[in-house]
Amino acid sequence: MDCKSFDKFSSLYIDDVLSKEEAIEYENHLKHCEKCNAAHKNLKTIVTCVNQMQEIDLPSSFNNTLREKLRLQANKTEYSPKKKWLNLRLVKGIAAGVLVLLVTATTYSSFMPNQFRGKSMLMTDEAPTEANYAAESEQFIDDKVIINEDVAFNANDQMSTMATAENFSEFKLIHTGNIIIETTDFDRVYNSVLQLVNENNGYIQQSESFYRHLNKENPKDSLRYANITVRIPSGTFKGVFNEIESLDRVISRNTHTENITETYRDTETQVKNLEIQEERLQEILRKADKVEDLLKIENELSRIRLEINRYKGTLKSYDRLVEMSTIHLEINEVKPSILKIQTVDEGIWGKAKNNFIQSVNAIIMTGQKSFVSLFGLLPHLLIISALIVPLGWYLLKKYKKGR
Amino acid sequence: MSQEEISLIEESKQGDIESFERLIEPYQKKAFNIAYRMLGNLEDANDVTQEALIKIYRSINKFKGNSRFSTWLYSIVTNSCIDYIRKNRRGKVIYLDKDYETEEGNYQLEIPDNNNSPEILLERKETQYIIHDAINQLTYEHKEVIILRDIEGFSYQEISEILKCSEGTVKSRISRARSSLRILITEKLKA
Repeated sequence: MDCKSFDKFSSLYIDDVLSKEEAIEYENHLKHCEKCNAAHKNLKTIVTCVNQMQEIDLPSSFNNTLREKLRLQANKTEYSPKKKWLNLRLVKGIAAGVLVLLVTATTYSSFMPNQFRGKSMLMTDEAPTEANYAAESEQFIDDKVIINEDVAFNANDQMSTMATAENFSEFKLIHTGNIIIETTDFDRVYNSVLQLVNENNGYIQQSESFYRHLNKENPKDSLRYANITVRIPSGTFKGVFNEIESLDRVISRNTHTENITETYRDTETQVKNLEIQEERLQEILRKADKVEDLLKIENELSRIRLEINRYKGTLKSYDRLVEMSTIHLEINEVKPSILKIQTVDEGIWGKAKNNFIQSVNAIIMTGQKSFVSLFGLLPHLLIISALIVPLGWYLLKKYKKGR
Repeated sequence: MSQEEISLIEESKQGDIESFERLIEPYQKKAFNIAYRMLGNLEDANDVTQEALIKIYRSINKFKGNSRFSTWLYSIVTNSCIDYIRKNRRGKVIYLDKDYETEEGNYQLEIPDNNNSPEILLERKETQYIIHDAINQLTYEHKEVIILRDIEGFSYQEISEILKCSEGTVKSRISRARSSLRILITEKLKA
């Protein structure tokens, strides 16, 4: 026991927590050491003084203010912060969900094949307007016909009136129709069109079909497209047109009727005039005696006959057009809408897979390249290290010595 | 812990304010005194004690009964005091013995020292003031052990529970705190 450990023991001695031996040792030291004895007495007085320090009473308002604060706190806890937290989490969850949905929707639409997107937009938003437009254009054409011909026919009457008018064969009308159909069942539509044409004594003027989108791995997923031009008797035009329309979803339709009555009648009268002229010329031919005259008349006759033939040909082609109406039909195969999401998903996965493979390849490539270049650099590295290592070692030694 | 205290704790956990008040009643005064000695003035002591008690009310659910309730309460009070001291150490404290610089040169803050006005001082009171001052000058680690041990009279074991450290640490800390207190007071008496 010496004066250095005085601090360690004195306080514990005062509190009487020293072991017996330590206490005795401490007491012995105090007897010998004046300085420590004084310090001990000093400390003891101080501790006693501190022990005697008076306790202060609580401020008079302490309890009241505390109660108020507690009330406030209790009210706050009634609000239940846990519930709030839960709500906040719920809101966050919903927000996250909406965000994910949004992102998926955006990627979905941006990964869709271009054709697809266009068609589906038409299908959803524009289809009705398209139909309206078709109807309007039909109406418009009808109106034009009526005005041009100065025939008193009710503007509201449409194809049916036209058909009856044609039955009287007063008018020479050429009907043309265009339909674009979108279908998920290509074969059914295609076959029923063929059947319709056969039943109505029509024929197919031109037909073309090809794969719009070919999926070699899964032929069932391929999408087809057909472009058909059909000729059918005018009397059945309206019926066939409506039946084709009812086959599947119509993307676009329009009908066009051209009235050629006037030109037809003109041509007819022209032919009659020419025929009369021919007769007259033949009469003159019989009366003629001079060879010169004969030749002239023959020339004239052959010219007129040519003209008659030409006009008659025109009339015949007009007749054909009037007799058989034309329908241009486009059939576009699309995937069922439920399947669409799947294909797009596959697209995303496929892309992700491709990307993944690409990055792995890139990593392998980089690894290989760096390995090759490192191997190539090996001689240089060996030389450099042969120079640097001893130098570094030397410097380190010097540095250590310096210290 | 008495049976009554346990039931009071249970009721307080349900949010019953009156039970809580009855629960803390026996410890309030001691808690307030600890805070007063730690912080050195009544207003801060008042604020901090109330804050600590409200913290106890709010988090009484976390009290599992591993230690005595009183120890838990006092440890929260001392920790609140230390937090408060730490938070307010910068900027708010004006050091009386520091030189303040102005354009006309340095000066020391001078405030009237009512503590020492001879008319009102009894000898005992004077020593108390000196001790109070000296305690205030200790670091808060030393301050808290001196307060708990010598003013409030807790045992070494209780102190180790309150401060959540070993008894050995408490012993050495008290030794060091007392010796620095002794040095401070001796210097004050010499001056």
